[in-house]
Amino acid sequence: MNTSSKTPWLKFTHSVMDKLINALREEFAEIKVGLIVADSDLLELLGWSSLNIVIVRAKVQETFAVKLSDQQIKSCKTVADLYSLISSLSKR
Amino acid sequence: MIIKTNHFEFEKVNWKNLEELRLLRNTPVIQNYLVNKGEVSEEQQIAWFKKEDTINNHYFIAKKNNGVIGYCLLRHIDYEVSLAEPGTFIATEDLFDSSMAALFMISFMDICRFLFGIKKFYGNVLATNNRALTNYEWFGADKEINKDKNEITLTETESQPYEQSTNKIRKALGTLYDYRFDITIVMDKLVDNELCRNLFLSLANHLPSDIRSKVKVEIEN
Repeated sequence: MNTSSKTPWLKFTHSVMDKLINALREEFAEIKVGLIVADSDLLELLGWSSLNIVIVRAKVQETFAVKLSDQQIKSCKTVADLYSLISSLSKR
Repeated sequence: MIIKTNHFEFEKVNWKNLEELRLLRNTPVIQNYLVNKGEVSEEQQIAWFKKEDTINNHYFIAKKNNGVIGYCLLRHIDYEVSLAEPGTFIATEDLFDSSMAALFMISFMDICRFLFGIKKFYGNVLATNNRALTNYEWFGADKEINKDKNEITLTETESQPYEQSTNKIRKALGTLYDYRFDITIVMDKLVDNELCRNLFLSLANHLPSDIRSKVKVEIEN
């Protein structure tokens, strides 16, 4: 059964999550593609160095037109948390 | 002499602000990252600066919104082969691992690269200085471990020059902060001696035209 066809919001959220994952994969091409998934631990995966924070903040801003602070980025434990944050802010 | 760029001010260390540098260097936050540890006394600082070669070694107090955030250095410059050791030290813990810290570092590295014309960077950092090691890793530097001294020497590689390795980060800084290499050098005849003024005028006047257009020189007094 194709769930997304019955629940359009689910399709939407999946596509936003995919967009986020793809955006991160694009910026961090040196990290194996399969390691960047929804439940990846961002701190473990990227480490919050000043340079990586800049890259993630700018990519989110470019891709989703959402401005995040350093603290907001650092507060996200996983890619899914970052997705939730972007979703909540883009709905405002 | 002050170099202004990206809302930072890099104030060249002179007899007037020498004490400011000493106090910064002696803070526990900065001491953590120094290869040569130990507090420096006023007398030691004065003796050091008297002997300091101010053509090949440059120290700057770094300010943002009129507040001191740390200091930077560009030392052991070999103008013949365009080799030197840059360093940025943040004294404000709030700025650690922040995007502002990245803007600060890149802004200063740009000055070293484009104004001083340094073609190859290297640095000696403590093996425990993870922040510096992470940054050098970003720049694709070669590592040489000196186990006796617990230091690591990192050298920029020819295969991944600074412009290339920082391209992505500079683009991102442009998105967040309207970052660009665009500097104003403000010299003060009362503070900066002739040697200093001539050096910076010479550096500015010998820049390639594309970079020269981004460098403004102002002489006060």
